[in-house]
Amino acid sequence: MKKNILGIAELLTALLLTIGSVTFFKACGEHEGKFMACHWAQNAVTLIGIVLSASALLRILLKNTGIKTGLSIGVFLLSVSVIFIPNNAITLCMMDSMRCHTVFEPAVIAIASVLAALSGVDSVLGLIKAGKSNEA
Amino acid sequence: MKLKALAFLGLRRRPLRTAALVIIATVLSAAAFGGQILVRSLQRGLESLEQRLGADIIVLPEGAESKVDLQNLLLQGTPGYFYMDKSVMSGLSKINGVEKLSAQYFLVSANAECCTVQVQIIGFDEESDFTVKPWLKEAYSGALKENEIIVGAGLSTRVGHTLSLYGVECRAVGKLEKTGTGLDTAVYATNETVKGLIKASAKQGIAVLSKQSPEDVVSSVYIKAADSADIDELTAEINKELDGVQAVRTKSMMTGTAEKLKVFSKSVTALTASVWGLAAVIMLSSFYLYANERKKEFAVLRAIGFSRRQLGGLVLKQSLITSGAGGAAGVLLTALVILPFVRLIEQKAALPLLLPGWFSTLLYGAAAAVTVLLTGSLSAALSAYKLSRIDTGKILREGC
Repeated sequence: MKKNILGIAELLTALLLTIGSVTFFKACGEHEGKFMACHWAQNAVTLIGIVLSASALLRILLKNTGIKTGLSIGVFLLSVSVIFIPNNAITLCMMDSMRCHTVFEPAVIAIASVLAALSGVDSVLGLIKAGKSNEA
Repeated sequence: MKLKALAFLGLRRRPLRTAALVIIATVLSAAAFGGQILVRSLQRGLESLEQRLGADIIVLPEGAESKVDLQNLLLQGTPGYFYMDKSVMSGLSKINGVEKLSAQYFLVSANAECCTVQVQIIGFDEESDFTVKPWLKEAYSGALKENEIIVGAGLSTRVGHTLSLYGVECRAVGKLEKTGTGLDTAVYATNETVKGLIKASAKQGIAVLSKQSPEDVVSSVYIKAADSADIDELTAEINKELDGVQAVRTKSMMTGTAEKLKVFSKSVTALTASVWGLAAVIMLSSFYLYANERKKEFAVLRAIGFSRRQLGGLVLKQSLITSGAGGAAGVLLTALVILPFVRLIEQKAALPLLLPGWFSTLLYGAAAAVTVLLTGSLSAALSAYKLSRIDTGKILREGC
């Protein structure tokens, strides 16, 4: 449990990103049967959220330190890339007073930043541990 | 064991106490940084709103509704429209003390392309204007042509791109600076363009707007008073001389917002002060109790050759580690919660918010972290003083 505390925190944050992006901080809804630009940003975040959750789960379940560290590095890189999805990689709606700008974008940035920080620390600790076991 | 690591090892030995101290420091720095950022953003928002309006007096159609509509537009960006007869312009120009006047015409778009919300379209006269063009971030050459628009900073439309309004493709030729007000999401065009949009709206079956042409009516008139004029007297004179209109002094229109700001600032200051007081007392007590608990340990350290100065340094180092970690965490957490969500806070509070620049924000963050460090160090200094006075022999002999 103690060994996996960072992994569990990563999994919970990745799940929050995935579930939140389609529920409580989702982007603007459909209008007259049409989806706006932010909908595709939301889909991208959800999809990457699923990949992040799966990686974080594997990071907890697998025993090999090297693989664990590799997965943490993957989670770190992916979570950093998620920060740039809303309004950079995929444009959001036109007005910055709309839900996708006021709720979706800041929530994604905040949660992805927390995930990046957690997985970043996890990666560094993993690399140090792997280095020590190689020396031994 | 390295002596340098003694402070860190001492903290690791008592994880709960260390975590509690770090959490207290986090709360302390979050309260200081968050409070400062919010209050400063509100002050900047209000200043920006005053400057943005750029007029001494605003003339609106008579009735409370239009004033509320204008306030909603300014503070929340809620689109609105109200009209008065254009003849009011000639009446106003005859009044002594009016130096400049410029009319604006408000139109609300149907849902604009790609958005489920309406856009406020403001028709203005380029020749007499003194409230829109001074806020242009990048100036365009010549005059605005038909179907050319200036967009607020809150719209993603870039200069050179087009925006479809009532099915008419309007080209953005200018963008205004960010003001933190509802006007950031407005679109500005000449009255000719507005007339074209009204025709287009009629074609789309939104006939109610087509009867109100900018040739016959205006929504508001912005007045710049002459230097020699008394603004209150001029406002009263306009209200006396002209029927069907109300002149409002721009400053008095901000009064409600300014009062809200005052209450908000006072609450934030009081809350921050209470959190500070409480946290400082907890920190002080914690270090004091810890000093009592560690008397024996410090007596042993003294017996093996540690000087009083070294013992004081050890306590101080531990305090710097906990308050430094907590201070940094508080600033980071606040930055993560307040900075990205500022537009949501602005909407919910219905107050204009304009965040300070990056450099100022960094300075506020650094100031909050340093103040937490100082509070922690002060608490530790008192404990260090207490520990430096212990009677080593007595404690080692009697065990207390």
